Amino acid sequence: MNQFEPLYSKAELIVKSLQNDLTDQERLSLNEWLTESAANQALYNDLTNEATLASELAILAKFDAQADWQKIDIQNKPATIGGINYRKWLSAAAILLIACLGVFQFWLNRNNSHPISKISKHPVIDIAPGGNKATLKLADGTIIILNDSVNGFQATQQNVKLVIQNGEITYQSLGQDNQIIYNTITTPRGGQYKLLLDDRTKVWLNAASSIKYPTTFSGDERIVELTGEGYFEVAHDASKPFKVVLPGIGRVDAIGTAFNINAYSDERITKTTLVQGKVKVAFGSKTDFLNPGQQAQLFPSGQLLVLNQVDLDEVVAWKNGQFIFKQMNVENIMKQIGRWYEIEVIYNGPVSQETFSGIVSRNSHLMEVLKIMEEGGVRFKIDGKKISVY
Amino acid sequence: MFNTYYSRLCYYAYKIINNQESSKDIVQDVFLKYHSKPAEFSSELATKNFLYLAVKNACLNFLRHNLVEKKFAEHQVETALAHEEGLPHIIKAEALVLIKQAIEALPEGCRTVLKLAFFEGFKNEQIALELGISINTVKTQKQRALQLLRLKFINKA
Repeated sequence: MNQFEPLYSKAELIVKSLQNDLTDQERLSLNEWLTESAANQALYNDLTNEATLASELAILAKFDAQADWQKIDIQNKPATIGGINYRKWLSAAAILLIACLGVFQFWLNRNNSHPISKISKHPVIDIAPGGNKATLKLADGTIIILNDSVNGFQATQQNVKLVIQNGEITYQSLGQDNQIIYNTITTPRGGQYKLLLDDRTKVWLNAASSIKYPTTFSGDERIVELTGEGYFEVAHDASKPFKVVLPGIGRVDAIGTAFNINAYSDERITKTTLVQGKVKVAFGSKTDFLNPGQQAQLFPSGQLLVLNQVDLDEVVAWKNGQFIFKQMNVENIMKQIGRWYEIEVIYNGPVSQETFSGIVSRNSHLMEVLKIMEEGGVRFKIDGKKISVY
Repeated sequence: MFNTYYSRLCYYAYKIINNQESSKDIVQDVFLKYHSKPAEFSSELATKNFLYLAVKNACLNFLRHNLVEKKFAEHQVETALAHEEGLPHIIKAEALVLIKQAIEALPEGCRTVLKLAFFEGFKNEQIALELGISINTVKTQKQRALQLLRLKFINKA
């Protein structure tokens, strides 16, 4: 017998003993094994104690076949050039070739009285991903469309000149007027935008979000207002704390820090995740300080919970052009997808609480993202911009 | 194949080398190698044996490589791992997979509670918050899950 095989049956014995399911003979054999060494006894104890069993299961659960399979799969894929996946084209070409051969065969065998039937080809309905787009609202209410192609745009608001070069907005002060001018950038569903504030703080704005900010930071605080989701890399200035106000929710204070705030109104929990530095979160009467890797979760009940060692890759995936889902349920996945692909999600019957894991580029077409869940048995019907989940 | 064996093999590698990312790399490499071979394994059992052996060897190589870098004596690894040390982890890996499968087969409500408790290490209070249910419900659901699994913990924490 192979050296490993007795180990498999030992495992079965231990689980059976946990479930009080041993036959007399099995019990004898287990007991014999237990008395063989202290190490065996220790191993058995680890698996039959609730706390140690839970921590070992947690280790096992860290290794998620579904999520990691996607990674390998991505690595093995041939390079996609200009968004075209050549492997897909190749298999499509192969199918077409087979179809052509079939038609040719049919044509050879045809009886003159039968016309050649046309190959009806149903185009695959798919939905393109979102992209860099937003609107900029100036102090006087003027709205400017922002996208990658906006270049050389100029406008003057009181004493501040606005220039947009290669989609990047800069402000130049023309005088000593100290009046603060606020501008607002809003991304639609299916849009995202990166901007640089006056103090060189970088802000990534996810879909269906907005940020209101002063064109110059005067005074002893830097205050901006955020709705939706944003990732901040705050330029260090100890004398001027950087504060993100979440209207109706609370505030996040930072000094030289990178963090993500997810405060969508359709999400139950407001999540502030610290990547680097230190921040203070203040929601109602609850305040807390976060260290890197920690996430503050504000619940609708007003409870504030700080989680340790959250998966930062997953939290900031959107900013890095990815969707990362780790054991996430359909509803939460569809919320993210809905914002990016501008789709409306309709649930038919109770929503499955099954969780899914996977990594997909945000440049993927919708079908590729849905595939993760389809493999797990969830069915979708696409009708224009509406998706029904079964 | 990958779905069936991936997490237990990673767990096994992790127990030997104590490094999460490298464990994944090692196991993924083993799978890639396995896939490049023609189907030469007569049975599922033979495949499983091969995978465990390949992962074990890869882990030993990994340790050996790292130890050499750290200027430790090579025979330490040999004695520590080649004979017995690595093997009991296979028992654990296999037992944990059986328990995990049993948990996955539970009815929805109590499964979610138990998964949060066991896999994510959530406290009852956190589970209650996460799911928007009362702490008492969490306790009842957890109890129900353990009853359904017929898990009797011998050494209570």
